[in-house]
Amino acid sequence: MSVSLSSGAEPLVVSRAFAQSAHAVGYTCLGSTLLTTLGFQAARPHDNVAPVLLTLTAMIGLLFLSARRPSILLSVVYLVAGAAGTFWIVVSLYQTDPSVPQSSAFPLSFLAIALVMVGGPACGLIFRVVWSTAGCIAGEVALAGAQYVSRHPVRPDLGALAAYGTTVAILVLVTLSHRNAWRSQPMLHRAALDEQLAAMRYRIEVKAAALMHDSVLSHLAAIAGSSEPKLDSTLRIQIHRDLEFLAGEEWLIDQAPEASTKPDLAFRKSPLYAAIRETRLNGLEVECTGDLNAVCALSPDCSVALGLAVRQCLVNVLRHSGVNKAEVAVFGSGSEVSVMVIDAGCGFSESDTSADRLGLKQSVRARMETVGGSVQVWSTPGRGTSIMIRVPTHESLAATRSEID
Amino acid sequence: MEPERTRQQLDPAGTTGVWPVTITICGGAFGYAFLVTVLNLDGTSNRAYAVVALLALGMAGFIVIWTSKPSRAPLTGRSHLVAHSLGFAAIALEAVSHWGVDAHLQDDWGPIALGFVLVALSPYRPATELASSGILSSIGVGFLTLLQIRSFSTEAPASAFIVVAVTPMLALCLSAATFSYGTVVAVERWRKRSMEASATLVRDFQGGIARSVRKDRVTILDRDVLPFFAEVLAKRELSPEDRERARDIADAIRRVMVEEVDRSWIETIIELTQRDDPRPGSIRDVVSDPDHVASAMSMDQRTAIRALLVALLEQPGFDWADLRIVFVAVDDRCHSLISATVRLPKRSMRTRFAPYVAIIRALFSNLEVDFTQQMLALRFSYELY
Repeated sequence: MSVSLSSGAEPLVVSRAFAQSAHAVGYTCLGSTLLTTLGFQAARPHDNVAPVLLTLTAMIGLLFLSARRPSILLSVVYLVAGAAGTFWIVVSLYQTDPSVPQSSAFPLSFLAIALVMVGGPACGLIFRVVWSTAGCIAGEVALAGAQYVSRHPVRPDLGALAAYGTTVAILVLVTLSHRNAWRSQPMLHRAALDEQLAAMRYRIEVKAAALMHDSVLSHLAAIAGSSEPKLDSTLRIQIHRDLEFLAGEEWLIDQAPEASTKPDLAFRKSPLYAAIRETRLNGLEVECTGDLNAVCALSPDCSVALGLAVRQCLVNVLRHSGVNKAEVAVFGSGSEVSVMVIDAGCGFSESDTSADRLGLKQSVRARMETVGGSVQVWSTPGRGTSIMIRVPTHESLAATRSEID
Repeated sequence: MEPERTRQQLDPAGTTGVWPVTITICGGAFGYAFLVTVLNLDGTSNRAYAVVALLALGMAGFIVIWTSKPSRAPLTGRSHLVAHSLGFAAIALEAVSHWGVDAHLQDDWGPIALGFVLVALSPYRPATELASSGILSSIGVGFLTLLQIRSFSTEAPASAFIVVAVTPMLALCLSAATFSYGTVVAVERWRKRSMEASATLVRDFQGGIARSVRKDRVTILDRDVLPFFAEVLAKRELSPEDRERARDIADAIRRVMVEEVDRSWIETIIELTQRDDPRPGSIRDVVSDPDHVASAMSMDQRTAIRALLVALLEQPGFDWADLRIVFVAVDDRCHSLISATVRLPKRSMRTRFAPYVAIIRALFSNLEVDFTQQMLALRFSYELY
């Protein structure tokens, strides 16, 4: 699936992403202050800014820790230590050179903004606002305290206040704007599940219809069309066997064919071989060619569906083609197995086939499509028929699924 | 076509309410730029450039607002490129407007305003695109600052000025990229978990569904087929009546099977809904699908339509006469119409169905939506093969 039809964790998703984006602002502000300090150090080698650099590094480390493992303790430690660090940096800058913190090249706002972007451990709107407010207060108090101690005029930092106001406004807007989308999430989620269940029911119904067609309708047609006074002994056995099968409980549950590790035995144990053997018993001469063991690469579902579909193709040859000979050619590639059923009979035009003829439509095409396969028919009246059935291998299906995931 | 890794394309329903936020952020960025320009008119050497810079920023914001409107989804990389270019042009024009007289870096609104435009774009564009374009513009801002260094009023080192000038733009672009990445990763993670959970649930249901289908089939078998076969197997000879009866039973079964094959998934949904929750009106006229093309929809497309139908059916007093679904095949496309009477004010109707419309827009082509008085109409198309 390419598009998410619902995102049930929406409020958490937005809240966490918001905290991460706030942390990105915090890192950038602290990193910029670090680079600015290095710039001043390079320009004035006699100033000792090592303590400032150490404090900034510690603040970046604490922000990283509180972002990686969000907890009340780490967030409080970041705010308290960050405020103390901001106080210490500003006081030491005033002592070293009062022109530096007053310069537009060293905005003290960056330090206070980094505290506003604390994020905090909780995910709700109110908690995020509370943490940002705490960060804003910590930053403003630290800056005002440093200015007071350094005997400079105490002024609120407008940059940090603007950052705080913008953060809270965007947070509130984002939270409120998603209320309607969140209301629709349960319905979208339910629809996605219902659709998957409907798809499964469809697959089982196709299977049931195909089995019904292969057994009941086939036998009824044989009885209706027989000219002999007695019921054919083979047909009698088949009716017995199918009645027992249909009366059982589990005929729609997938049953894996018995696996074999020996390649030559593997084909003989496949549902494809069982289908060929059965139609041979009914009088059709079937020649098998190609890479017969390629069918071992199929999943149990695909293998069973392929066997039943080929059986129906061979039954069609027996009933409608006017010949009693067919060829089954198997080709294998890394990603799919192709089986071609060829006869040199009377042929037909698929579009002229009556709407109530379900053999090719239901027992072959629909059946193969439910397991991810495809069917192609080449037939011209008077010039035989070739039916190509393509099925993805087990590996190819697994790769497709993992790509989707 | 694979959707881009943006929140708008991966989670269309969750992004429907974001548009007012986009408008507010772009409007706020323009308001901030306007205020700073007015307050610093005295420090502006060329007011015409300042006005053009504001106009360029206004255009950038307008393009973001216009292209991010849910009915025009998805917002493309080209729209971002145009808006971003205009935003950077605004930065350059603003720098020119106070060239030689810029006393304080804080008076420059350009980098912050363009940074907020990137924040507004974060639900619509991939993280890598936001980060790379923002970093490129930051380099441009740094270069412009370097050219202006001599006009600044302090003796601080040039590198410090450049870092400070670049920081707001860089911080906001990285913030936008982080938000975009965080939401996309979370949506993908949630979707993976949700699919795994659904697959387990569906597997659990498999036995029950198989038994239910078997029960439906066995009912037909028990009534007609099994007694007939039992009778035939017990006999020594077949009579012409037996052959005639075999033909009749086969025809009856085939008729039922043809009806089942011809019934589309959407008709099945409506039949099951009527069975579980009967409501007035005939279900016969609800769906018109003469070409049997409803089955060509993908599973995602079916799910989106199913969710819309369930939301419509949840409306109080909704009956079958209120709903009409038409599928028409033209060449290799199916053109569809879903129209429904919804007894809600137009505004409420728009808000309520916005998430479903957003998903349908993401999954189908050429969606047109009409919200008229008490009537919702969706026209869309999809490829048949």
